[in-house]
Amino acid sequence: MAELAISKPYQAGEPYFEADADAQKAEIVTFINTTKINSDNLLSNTFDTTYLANDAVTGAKLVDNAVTESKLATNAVIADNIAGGAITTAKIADTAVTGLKVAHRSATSSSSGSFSSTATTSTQVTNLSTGPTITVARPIFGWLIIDAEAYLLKSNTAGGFDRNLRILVQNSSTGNTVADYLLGDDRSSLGVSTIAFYDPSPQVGSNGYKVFVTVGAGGTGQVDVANYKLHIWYT
Amino acid sequence: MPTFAFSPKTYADGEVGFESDFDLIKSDLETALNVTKLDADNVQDGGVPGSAIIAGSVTTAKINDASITPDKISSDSSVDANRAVGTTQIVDGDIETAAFDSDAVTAAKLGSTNYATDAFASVSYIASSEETIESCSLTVSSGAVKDVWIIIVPSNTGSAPISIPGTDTGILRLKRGSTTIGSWLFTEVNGEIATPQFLMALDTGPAVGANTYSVTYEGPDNITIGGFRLYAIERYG
Repeated sequence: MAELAISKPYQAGEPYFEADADAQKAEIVTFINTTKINSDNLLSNTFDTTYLANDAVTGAKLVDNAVTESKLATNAVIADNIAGGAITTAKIADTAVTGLKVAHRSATSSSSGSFSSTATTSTQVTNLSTGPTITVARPIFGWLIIDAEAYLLKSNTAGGFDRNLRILVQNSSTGNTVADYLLGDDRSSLGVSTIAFYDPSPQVGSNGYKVFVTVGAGGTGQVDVANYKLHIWYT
Repeated sequence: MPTFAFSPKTYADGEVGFESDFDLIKSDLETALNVTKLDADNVQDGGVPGSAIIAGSVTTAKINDASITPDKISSDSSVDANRAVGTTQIVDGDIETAAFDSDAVTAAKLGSTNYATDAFASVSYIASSEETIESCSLTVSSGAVKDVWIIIVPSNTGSAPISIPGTDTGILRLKRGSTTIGSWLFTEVNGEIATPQFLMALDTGPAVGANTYSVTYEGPDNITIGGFRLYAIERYG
């Protein structure tokens, strides 16, 4: 408590001596120079910027957790606050970028249902069409995946071992054929269960992948695509 | 340093105190407080409370360099609301590519691929009811649930692939718990039956926490499965 209290060394009817005045002056000097003022002597909101010395606010003057969210303006952090290249490897905690931090980047078509074709020209499989709209042209992986009770089969209605099944996957947006699978006339090649493909050059914007089947040249019979979906994942 | 001192006194005992004597004392005080003014030498250490400082007075120039250390910035290990930097403090799109050092996001910074797997050796089943061939447990990450790829691929045992004799029929299922995610139907078409050597299904509905993925077979006819491996992989993005 820094209160200035000046004594009263004189009484009514008595002379005011030199010593009286000296004592009172000394108390004032002591208060200003030795006791000094503190918060008890200051009105609230007394000091503005003018009265604060530069660099006066040191770390010790800031209470812990003083910089709260409410002290930072909305949109306080702008690009210009962050130096180019400031986020170095060392700044990122190991394993910080988990799968959950990465946005979904996949697309899946509806099921083909039960699709059959005997065409010797390229025929699109019902519903096996999907594709993402991407902003950066990064490679895309894709697969035929199974839904309920799926199978993919080329049979020969006339009997024998004629397979001649061709499966194409095309990015119709770019015109690129990204998979061209030929099941030749060889019984050991029968086991078609999926087609995986890789498109190194999708286009920025929309991409539309489609699956086509063909009973190959010279072939006969039927291709059955039952309950497949087309699933793509962009890297 | 405005050390305060009264002017040499102009009075003494036994003398009449004149007006000028007291005027000098008054003017000394007025000059000290109104003209010379007080400075740091006249204020106690810690004597200026926050309440005495006008809001907005602590400008950049008043802050000592490097004084805002981490402990001065509001933080909380568990409560977002107590953290100083929320999403509203960051301008949309302003964490730009340029802010990242080249090649900063190394493989070590990426979270581990979350997957479960189990191999199964060559087995033969004559199953009239569904039997579990193999299973594995995948703990799906907390937070936004990603899809899970379920895959069976040949393992490295060199065993025979999947085969089913003649025109036998059955269903090979990839499941999460009791839910069939995808299944392969061994069925005869024009005398042919397709046998898979690689199957992949997409589970879009796993729950956060442990999920059991399995491969099962249900007849009515028998099947032989070579050495295969079951994978359940939480998709990375």
